[in-house]
Amino acid sequence: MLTELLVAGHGSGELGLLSPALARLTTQHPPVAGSWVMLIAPPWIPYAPGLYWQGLALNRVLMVSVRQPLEALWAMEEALRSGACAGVIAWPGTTAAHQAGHSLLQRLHLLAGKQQAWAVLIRAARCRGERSPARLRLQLLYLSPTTLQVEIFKNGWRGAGTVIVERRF
Amino acid sequence: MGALLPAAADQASGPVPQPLPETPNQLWLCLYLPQLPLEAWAAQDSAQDSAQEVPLAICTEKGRRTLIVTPNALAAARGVRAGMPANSALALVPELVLEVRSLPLETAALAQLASWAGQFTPAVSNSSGNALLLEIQGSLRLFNGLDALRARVARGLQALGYQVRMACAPTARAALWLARAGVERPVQTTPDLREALAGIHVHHLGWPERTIQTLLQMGLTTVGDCLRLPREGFARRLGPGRLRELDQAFGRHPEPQRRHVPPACFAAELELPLETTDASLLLEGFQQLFQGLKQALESRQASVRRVRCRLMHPDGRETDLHLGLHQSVGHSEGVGLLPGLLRLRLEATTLAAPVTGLALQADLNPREVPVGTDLLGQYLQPDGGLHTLLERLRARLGGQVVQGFALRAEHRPESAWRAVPDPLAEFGVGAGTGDPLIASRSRPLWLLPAPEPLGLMTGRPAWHGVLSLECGPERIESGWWDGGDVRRDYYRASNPQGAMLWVYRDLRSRAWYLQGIFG
Repeated sequence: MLTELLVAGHGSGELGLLSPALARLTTQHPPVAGSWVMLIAPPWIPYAPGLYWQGLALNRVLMVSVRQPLEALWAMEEALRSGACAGVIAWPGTTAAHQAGHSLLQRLHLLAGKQQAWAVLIRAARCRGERSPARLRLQLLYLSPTTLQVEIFKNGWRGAGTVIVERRF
Repeated sequence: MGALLPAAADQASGPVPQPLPETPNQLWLCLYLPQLPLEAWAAQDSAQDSAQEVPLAICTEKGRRTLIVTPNALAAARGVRAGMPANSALALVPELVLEVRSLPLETAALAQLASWAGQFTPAVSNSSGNALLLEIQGSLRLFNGLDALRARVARGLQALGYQVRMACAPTARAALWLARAGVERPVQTTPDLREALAGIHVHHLGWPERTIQTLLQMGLTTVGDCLRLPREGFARRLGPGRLRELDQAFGRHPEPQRRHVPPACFAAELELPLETTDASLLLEGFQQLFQGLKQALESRQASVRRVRCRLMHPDGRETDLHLGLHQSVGHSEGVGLLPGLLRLRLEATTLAAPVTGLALQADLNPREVPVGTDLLGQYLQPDGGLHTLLERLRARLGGQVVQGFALRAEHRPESAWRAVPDPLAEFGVGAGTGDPLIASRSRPLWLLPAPEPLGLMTGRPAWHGVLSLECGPERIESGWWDGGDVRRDYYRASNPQGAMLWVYRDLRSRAWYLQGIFG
């Protein structure tokens, strides 16, 4: 399924929020063939000791770097289509998803559903007003240095809500 | 006086070799190509059209005379026959085109056909003149019996532009003789073999002219006539070699065949009808070459790992595109991947000039992994499709776009990890867990490419606002032995926007740096 995570700026806690789920995806027992986690066009270098500390199996994590924002979405589509990835997180930049249009997001959503993969798009907070096929849409808000507020403003047919999350360091 | 057949024992003429069992365990299919000199010549690029449209004959020099070897259909219809002197042929058909026979061309064509025939059986021999010999006993079941196999071979050869006469026999030499004589009825048992061979005219045995003359003068016109002669007399008059050939035909003497070994690489070229830079036209051209590659892989049970696609420009320059496959692939699944990869690569390439020709080269390796298909005929990938994914990403985005990560036992944060450029090779396809040897402390999820010097505001470090130190210090002093000596105090700090940062103070310069972000 496609999840959209809106953030005020890169590094405001999005990877930390996702990492418990990614840790679970990369350490499935018994090992599953298509259990790779792919980080596409991240804003900085994912720091291996940090990932390890958060519980991810490093030998299941791949990073894809791209030159143009649209390539990030293409790579995401390929990764989902291949069926090799259990999780695909992409930072396509602020304008790419907007340029690519609704149909591409729809395709990502369908592919993620078909392959039973978890696709996460990290987007800027101002995309909140845009139409999106994502089943789950979240926005991260800063509360205090150690807590985040996660606003669930779209959750399929279920209601919206707000969760306070303690950050793990 | 022991006659050649039946093999009545005669002590004086030496032991008569053991005859073939009633149901032999070998079956040879002979593909005799009567028109090979003509067809090999016509298969050249420059000659395609004229071979059918004008009376034409391949000829050869014999002593002082020029003899016709193979006339084409038009010439044959007007009376030109093989073996006729060229002058007589020209008298019959004044506009006859004569081409000199080229044996290297025929050998090459035959070798190519032998490689092609490798799809039916691994035992293919091309060392008997204009004929291929295939041992097919082991392939009958796979191809649904002899008739289906023969039909398939015939279709294939017809598509390649060759006329063929086929014969089947339990021995290679018998199959060859029967094919030359035009006995296409398959011969599978020993009594059949005796009967079929007995009727063959001695012309078809490929023996020297003088031997044939001698036989005819003796009143012997068929193999059956020869068999009635005493063995030692036959050997004395015609040579022991001929006797051995007869024995080989009846399976009483072994006749090892040298197997054709196909070349270890595939190369094919295609000239484009017009100059173009259009990627879709180029792809279409390459599709043809990929088809050839697929057949080569099929017939050799081979796999490819690297494919080199060359685009030829009119000024002699070339554009080289290498398609690297992460894993060796065999015919059906692998060649299916190649066009997609090539399309991605072509889209990412800007061609300097129009393209006039295409070429494809690949080294063929023995197939490594027996690749299975699942119940629905889908190609099973042991890694869940990651190979394919990485190949596609690399083809479009460049060679080094995908990387993995690994830890290093090192205190300096910037050296505590390393990039893994080839994750599949290093990590393998099986899932595993992280390296448990390194006791881990809290570390950020993001690392800046290089530490970023921080400015000071009211005496405190700042990054988009004044930082407040949340946790620390953690002192790291290391690296004095390799010149990368560091002495740092690390802190976790937050800025007013809520970013949690990993900053350090260099203990020698007292300056602050940002090195990572807890994302």
